[in-house]
Amino acid sequence: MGTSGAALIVQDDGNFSATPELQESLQLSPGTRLELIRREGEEIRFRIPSAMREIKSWRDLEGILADFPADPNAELEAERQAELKRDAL
Amino acid sequence: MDAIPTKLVLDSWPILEWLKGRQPSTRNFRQILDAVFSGETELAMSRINYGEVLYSIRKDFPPERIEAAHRAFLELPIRYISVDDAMVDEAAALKAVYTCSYADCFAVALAIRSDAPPVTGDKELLMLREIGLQVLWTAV
Repeated sequence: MGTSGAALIVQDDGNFSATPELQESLQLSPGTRLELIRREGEEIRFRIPSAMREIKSWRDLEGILADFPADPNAELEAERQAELKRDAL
Repeated sequence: MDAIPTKLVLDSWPILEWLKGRQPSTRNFRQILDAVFSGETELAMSRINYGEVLYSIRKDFPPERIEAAHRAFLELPIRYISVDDAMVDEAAALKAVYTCSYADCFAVALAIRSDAPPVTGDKELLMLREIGLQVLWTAV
């Protein structure tokens, strides 16, 4: 794919930046999520979750986030914990 | 999961677990939906908790799938209950006493008002048992 040696740079805000060439080569677009598979020594492996299937009815929603890193209940739980921490002040 | 009562109040937790496909919550939620579709039970949800699901969809779904997901979510056989002034007072009273999020207090207030157990796997709502309310637990 011609990406050997291409670099992803971590920004101050924690975001990654990739050169246009690397984005094109890996087919990355703004908002693409990369899921960490594992780290072995100096090698870090990510995967791009498969595209979300089409949603035609409510039945298609079941398990639709299973292959995505997004975890809405974990996010809500973090919000709730922050709220409870504020309440305790 | 215990036997499904004839009416239930839905918290956001079971729907969000169902989107993620985690078990046993997904299997249990599907069983509840089957009971609603067959007319054995009714499912109500506060608009506040509906909002929690909706903003999770808006945040976590790819932009091109958000509208379809929202439409599909609205197809679920759930009666959404808008919040009135008295319910805000009831939720605030619960929030002042119990350790739970403000949004959860609306699910509890609706459950008390409807005399219907909430469906959840959210451990925060276990406090309902302290005040004598039944909880339909969908988690492990």
